[in-house]
Amino acid sequence: MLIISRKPQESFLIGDDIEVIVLEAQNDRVRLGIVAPKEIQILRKELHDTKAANQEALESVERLKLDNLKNMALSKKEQRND
Amino acid sequence: MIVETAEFGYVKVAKEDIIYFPEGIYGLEDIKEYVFLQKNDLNVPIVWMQAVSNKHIRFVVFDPLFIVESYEPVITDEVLTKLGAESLSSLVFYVIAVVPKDIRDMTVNLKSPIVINPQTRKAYQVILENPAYQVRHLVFRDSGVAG
Repeated sequence: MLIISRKPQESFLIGDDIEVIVLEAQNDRVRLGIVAPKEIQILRKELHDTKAANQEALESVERLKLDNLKNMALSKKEQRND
Repeated sequence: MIVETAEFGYVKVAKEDIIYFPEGIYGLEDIKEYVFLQKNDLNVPIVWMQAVSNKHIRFVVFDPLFIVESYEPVITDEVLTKLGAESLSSLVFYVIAVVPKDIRDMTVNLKSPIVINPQTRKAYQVILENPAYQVRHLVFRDSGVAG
């Protein structure tokens, strides 16, 4: 992984046409500005992961054997009651 | 009204049982209406979140407190306003499960719960700030989150 230190108002480039600007860094939060061509999709990672998980959840239900799930869920509950 | 479901066949639901997702959920933004169905004879909190308009679109969801007893989602004022809720305490949470072939590998998305205001029957999928909550939290194996 490439690691770069930047101060507020400094920026860096990814390729020729994507610029990432550090706007503000405070406490545990960094505000970034991104200049990129319109066709580049920019998504927060957790949003991307959530979309993927939703899709996978949907597909997984198609193959679901309910009885298995029932048994496992019960055993989880039993574990907790121990 | 009658809702066609994959697990329960045709189910009669009251209009008040339909939960409206103004923004859908992530990746399924166009599906706005779901019902939450549970089999009464199961002693486990498995709930189906079933799309009203398409029987194939449904999810297995859980009460997150069943998975992680200490689950404490922080909901922003913006979301509370959108839900028409005054406080966190009136809200209902579900987490969506991925149920793989080997059920021991089942994960739930603690990072992005479904949050429902039963009073307004509105719901959103929200992404929590808390870095301890994972998109793929292993339910039956230790995945490093204190339960």
